[in-house]
Amino acid sequence: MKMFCHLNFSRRGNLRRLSGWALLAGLSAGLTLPSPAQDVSGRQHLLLDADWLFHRGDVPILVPASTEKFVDTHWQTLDLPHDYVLDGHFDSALDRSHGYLPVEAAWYRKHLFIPQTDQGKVLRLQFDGVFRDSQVWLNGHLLGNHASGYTGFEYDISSVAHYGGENVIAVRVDPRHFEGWWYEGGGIYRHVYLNVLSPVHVARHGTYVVSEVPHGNEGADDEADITVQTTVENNGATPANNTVVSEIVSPDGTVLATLHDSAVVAPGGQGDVVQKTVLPQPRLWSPDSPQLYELRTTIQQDGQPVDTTTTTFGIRTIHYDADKGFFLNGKHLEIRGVASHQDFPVVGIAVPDSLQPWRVEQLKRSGANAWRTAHNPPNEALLDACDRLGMMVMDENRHLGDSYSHHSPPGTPYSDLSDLAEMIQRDRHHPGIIMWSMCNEEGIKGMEGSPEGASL
Amino acid sequence: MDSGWLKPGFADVEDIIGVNYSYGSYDTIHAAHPHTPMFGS
Repeated sequence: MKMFCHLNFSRRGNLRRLSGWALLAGLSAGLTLPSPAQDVSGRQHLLLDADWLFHRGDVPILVPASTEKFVDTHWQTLDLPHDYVLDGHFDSALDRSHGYLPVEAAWYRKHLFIPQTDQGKVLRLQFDGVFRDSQVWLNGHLLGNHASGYTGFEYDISSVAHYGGENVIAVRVDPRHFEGWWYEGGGIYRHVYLNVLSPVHVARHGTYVVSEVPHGNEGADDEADITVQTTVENNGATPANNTVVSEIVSPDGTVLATLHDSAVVAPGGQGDVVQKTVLPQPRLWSPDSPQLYELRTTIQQDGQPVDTTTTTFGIRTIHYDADKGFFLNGKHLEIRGVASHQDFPVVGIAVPDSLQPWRVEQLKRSGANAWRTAHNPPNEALLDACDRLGMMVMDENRHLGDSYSHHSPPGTPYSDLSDLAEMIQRDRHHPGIIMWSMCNEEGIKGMEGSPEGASL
Repeated sequence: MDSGWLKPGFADVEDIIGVNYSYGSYDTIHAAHPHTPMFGS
């Protein structure tokens, strides 16, 4: 299968993921395979968490660590997610709010085989979270800089990848300029993926499902109006005639509706396809009954699928009343919430996905029904757990503009809502989210009671 | 927000007014914005 074509060059000879296919291909022992997180028609979403090389501190620039020729054989081998600040030694002279731990820059490198057959496809490196001020190179080419330690980002590597050969990803992180006043850690602490896409594909964060229950505020549940917006991206050189097929799948796995609509997307452009349907007797999402639907999106060209994605969503009605409080599906519900940061004992900010459901379950057991993601966009695995286990969420942005250090470019005003937009576009399909927070109070200090603040 | 609710600004345009801390000010803030829900955290 195609997913076996991407091989990691490992320095520690980890054989546990070697397949017979790889050995038959004539590749020597010492290579490992990335874990396929999703294997669907036309799209590969390949987990690159395994076998990174790490160096704490900066590196002498005689042979830059961003380049392929740099010798990294003496670096530490590890798997992501990773928080290296946690490995430091406590020093009472250091910053109290960040746990009295030393914070310094660090480097990561990863060797990756990309097959010749990927040439002509769209290759993108996806980082879900790097703390912080990261720079990323592939084969010595600077892909970009991402200041925020709390939002994800993606780089197109199609034009700089070595097809049929070894590639080197290099990442420098610098967490010395804090974004908050709590333990923030440092490193590549969320997942990294390689996305291999057809030239015509669903854009990043490109599915948006809106459900509306007529008279849901009064407790009605007869039917739900579903609107699906799909953003199609065309990286090809010619206009793309495509058909968007959207399947709505019930919580028990039954396909309830299949929608077909065609559109032409200009080369190098994006286009939205909007589809509507009505679902009778929807199963509403609530903390006591967290019902989840699926949207399966397929892009077809000439009748053949070229890309498929899956989006989980829920159907519920929320309403706030200035005197009576919060209502979910027409019923008053007292929000019993906690404000919880993303870090956790022993693992710091590198919280494994498997720990997130446990955290949600413990809070539910204590009587909580809501989680404020203090004070930044969380790991998406937490939101998945909240959806599945019935925990409401206040999803919080970190800052506006450059109110944290080293936002790019410096001087970015408060009115720059790019981080807020990134959070909402990533998270808007989670039914557990009942509220968006623009930021915690320190991000708007001095603006709360000002015309400038109101103008945002 | 942890201040500024009683001046022209964010509190006039938010769908829900965030009130961090300031438990003793809930009634005053609500009186200033009687039609806007508040959220305490």
